[in-house]
Amino acid sequence: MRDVTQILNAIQEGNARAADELLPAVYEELRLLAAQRLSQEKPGQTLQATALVHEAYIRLVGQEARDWKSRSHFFRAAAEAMRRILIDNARRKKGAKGGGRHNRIEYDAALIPDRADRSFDELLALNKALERLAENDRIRADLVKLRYFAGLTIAQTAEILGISEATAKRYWNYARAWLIREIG
Amino acid sequence: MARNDKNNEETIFDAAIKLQSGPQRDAYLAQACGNDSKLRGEVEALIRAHEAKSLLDEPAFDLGVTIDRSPITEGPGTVIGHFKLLEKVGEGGMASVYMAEQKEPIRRKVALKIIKLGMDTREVIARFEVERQALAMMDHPNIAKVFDAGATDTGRPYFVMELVKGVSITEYCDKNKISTKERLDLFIQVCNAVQHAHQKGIIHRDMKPSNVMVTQRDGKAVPKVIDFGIAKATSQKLTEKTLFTRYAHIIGTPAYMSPEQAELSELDVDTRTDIYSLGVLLYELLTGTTPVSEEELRKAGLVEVQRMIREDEPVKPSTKLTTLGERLIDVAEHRKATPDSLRKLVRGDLDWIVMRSLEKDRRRRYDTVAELAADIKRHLRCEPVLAAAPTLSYKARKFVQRHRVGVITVALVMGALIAGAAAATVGFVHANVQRRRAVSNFERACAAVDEMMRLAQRSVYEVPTIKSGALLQQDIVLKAQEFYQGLSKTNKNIPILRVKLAGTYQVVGESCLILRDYEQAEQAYRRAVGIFEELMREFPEDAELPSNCAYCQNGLGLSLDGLGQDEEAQSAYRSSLDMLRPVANTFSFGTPKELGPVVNSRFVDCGPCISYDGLSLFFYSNRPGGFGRSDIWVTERATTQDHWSTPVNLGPTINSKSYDAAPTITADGLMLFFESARSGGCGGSDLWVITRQTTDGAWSEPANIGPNVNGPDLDGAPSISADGLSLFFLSDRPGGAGNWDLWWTSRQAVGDPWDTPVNLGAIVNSPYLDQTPSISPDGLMLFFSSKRPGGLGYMGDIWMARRETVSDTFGKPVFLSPPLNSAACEVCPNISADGATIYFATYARPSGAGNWDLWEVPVLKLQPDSAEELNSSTLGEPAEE
Repeated sequence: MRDVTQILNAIQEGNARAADELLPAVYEELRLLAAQRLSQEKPGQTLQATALVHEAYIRLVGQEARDWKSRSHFFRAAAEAMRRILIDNARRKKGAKGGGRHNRIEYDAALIPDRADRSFDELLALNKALERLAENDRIRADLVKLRYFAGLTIAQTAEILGISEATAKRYWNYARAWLIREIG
Repeated sequence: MARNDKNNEETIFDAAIKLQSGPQRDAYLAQACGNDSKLRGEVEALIRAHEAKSLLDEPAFDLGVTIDRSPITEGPGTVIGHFKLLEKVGEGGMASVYMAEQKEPIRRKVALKIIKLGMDTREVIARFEVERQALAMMDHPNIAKVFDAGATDTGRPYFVMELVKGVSITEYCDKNKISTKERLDLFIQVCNAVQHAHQKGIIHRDMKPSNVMVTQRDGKAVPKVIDFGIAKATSQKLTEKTLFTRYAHIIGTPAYMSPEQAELSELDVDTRTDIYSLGVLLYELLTGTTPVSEEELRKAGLVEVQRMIREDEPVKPSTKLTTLGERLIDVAEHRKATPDSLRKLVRGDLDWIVMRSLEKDRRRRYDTVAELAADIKRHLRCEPVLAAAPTLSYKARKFVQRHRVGVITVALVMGALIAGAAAATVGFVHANVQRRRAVSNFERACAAVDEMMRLAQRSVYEVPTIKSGALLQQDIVLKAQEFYQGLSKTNKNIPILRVKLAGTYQVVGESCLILRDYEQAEQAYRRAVGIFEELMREFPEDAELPSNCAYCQNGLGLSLDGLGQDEEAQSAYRSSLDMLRPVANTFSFGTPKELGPVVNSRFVDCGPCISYDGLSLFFYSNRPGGFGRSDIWVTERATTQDHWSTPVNLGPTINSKSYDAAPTITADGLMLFFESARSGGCGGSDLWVITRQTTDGAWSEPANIGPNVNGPDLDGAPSISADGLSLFFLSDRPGGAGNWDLWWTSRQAVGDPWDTPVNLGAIVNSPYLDQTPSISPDGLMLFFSSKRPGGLGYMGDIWMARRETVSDTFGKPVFLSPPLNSAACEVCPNISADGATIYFATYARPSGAGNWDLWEVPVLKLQPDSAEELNSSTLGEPAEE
């Protein structure tokens, strides 16, 4: 498999098919990076997925000035890869634990929520809804992936998707509300 | 979904959210949707979603993944230039540090730091070269030297440094239980080192505990600052394109990053940047935590991290200590102190020194590190510190910045205080002294109100446990007490000061009840009662004083109960009731009693629900023997005259690994609703139902009552009507009066879908915490628990709202008189079918097994004799502001 830099170079040179190779390469890189970071963290600590994406960017894309197109390809691939990693993980972890939310007896420590438990459920529900959104509305779904899984700002997202910031903001408002409504 | 519909929906949604909610938006929706009610419903759902919170609001963060490890390139044995790696001595997000052996030109052991991230190696080394001369000029016992920089065979930059064998300063201090004073001594040495570097023109840029190592020399602890010059060499040139790159650095240690660094403008960093980071380090040495915790930062995305660093005012170290809860004991122990002595030590000078270093605007920080160190030395010598004298106008401005909402009230209080202080001193004090006192009163008022506001902002239920909540409350209230004591001595003619002072004793009494310190509680309540009685004599017309006094009398009764002084307790309860006469005429209860050791455990026992035949009592508990965080249990009796049996768990089909709570049952005993946070719901906690064919049959598997009712967040504490057709519950969904509100939904017949829930409205719900609704068997009385004013104390009391018929709306809730309610906390009321007994749960009443316990109280009179009587129960209404 070619490495990410080569693939990005190919994209920069106008090789459209190279984009297909990007996702597996980025996915693999993120997976390794996560493993490496985890080996350095204390057990029980969590990694910030979006931070990983940015770290991967530095490692893979580096300092060279890339054009808008290859950056765009990279972040789309990274957001998608991160989504897959997180969803696979949530599926694995779920079942072992139930959901949790603090009970109405507001005082007691025994009844404080286990946030991770809850987020697995929520994440899987979000993912389902996101897949439905992608069926009808690819660009808004991509926007959500970039914002949520790669942690990009509205401005960065707008640049990558090649739309204005105002449009990105509008799309985000709608997609976000749509997803929340869909999750119910 | 057809594409066109969607376009239409989106267009209407886009336009609608730009309009203010209310008539304007409604009118637009009516016009845009016409008579397409489905479209309108969909758009309204979108608008609700738009206004709701969601996990989408912060980037995905939790990656608890376990994957195979990647190969490591360098390791022990690898030769890099003149150096042979011996063993790894440190590892960070950005670099690995090895102990290495140098053979020539001199034989010595050094530390080799290899940068991991893919950086432009040439550029890193070039930038290092620029500073090399300056670095070489540094010669200080508390600075580890940096010798050289180079590139590994794999092209990664590395730095060669003096080998420092030791641990980070925070780890060293905690491991060896170093006292605060000794910590300050170490910190001064660190300051000296940084000052030395600053004089040579070197800014560290990355001061954090892991860059301050402590070694032992001749039995003495010596701090050594490492990594001078490295942050600068490895920082990137900043452009839009490298924003992401920079982010990777930020996530390393944003906790110590100054606001100007968070701006990502490299040009703007100067020596005062190090002062900020030193301030964070000092903060951590004092309190064991950074102003913004690592966890908070980890959850936030890039933009949010930047915003937090630039804008969020840190809380003072001494205040931070009070928020640590149980952890405070540990933190204090690591400083050879008790929680109290540590707080006292940090409060004042050290607070100010830290806050001065952490100013967002660096012009307000110390100008040099030497000044910072000098101020700490002044503190150690008990001399006034420079940091403690911010000007009045500066302080007032800061105050206004932080508390825009409360400013008007504060200004009023200030005005009254300064006027009062001035009036009291006219004639015998020199004008200058008078002014100074007014100013110092102003400042003290500022500080006290400031603290109170913070407490108010941090709602009590965010504190991890009720006990730590009580400790926190005490700490802050004692401060206010001191303040009002001082002021009311010199200002006898301002009665409000005495009311406030008594109020502080009330709250201290409350927290003492929770902590089961009955002697202290008695003292506090006695003082409060004394003040109120005096005031009542002076101001017999005042309507609020008797209810305040009644509350303190009741608290006094509880304290005396706790001390085993029965007779005195009874007399206090009687005085309390006398003062509550109007309500006591309407309602009357027998003596409350806890359900005893067979039923109550020393764990949480809460949410009682009595079956209509009075023979089964369902409740929830986290006692051992359950299947999850809390489970539903049932206790039974053969006749209503018998004792309750040992509770039985409803079993693993019904109780999940998560929270199962708040059971409520229909009249026929065949349908039981409850709250559960199990998976498979709509998010947060949801309402679930189980059914059975006969009262001795087995329960079905739980079913979620569906997304018509259950929202994404908290839905809980259900109460089902006798016929199973109306369901009252608690929810934090948007559209309420604030905090938690009570909602209800209904259905035509069992098996029909539930209607969209409706908020019980502003007559029933208050902006305070309203919870645990319970509908009476006849459907005409709604009991619930609330923290609204007008009850006995602030912990929560049981209230009741009434309606004429089941199709009416509920009237204004009234407070149920003692002894059902008390100065302690009462929740989860549930009235028996014959109306003779109210079951409830309580915390901090002196008897009982501990934690939350189940109690019962005989109902003597719940119906008013006449309409006037009901109206005369003025005490039961929240005080109008």
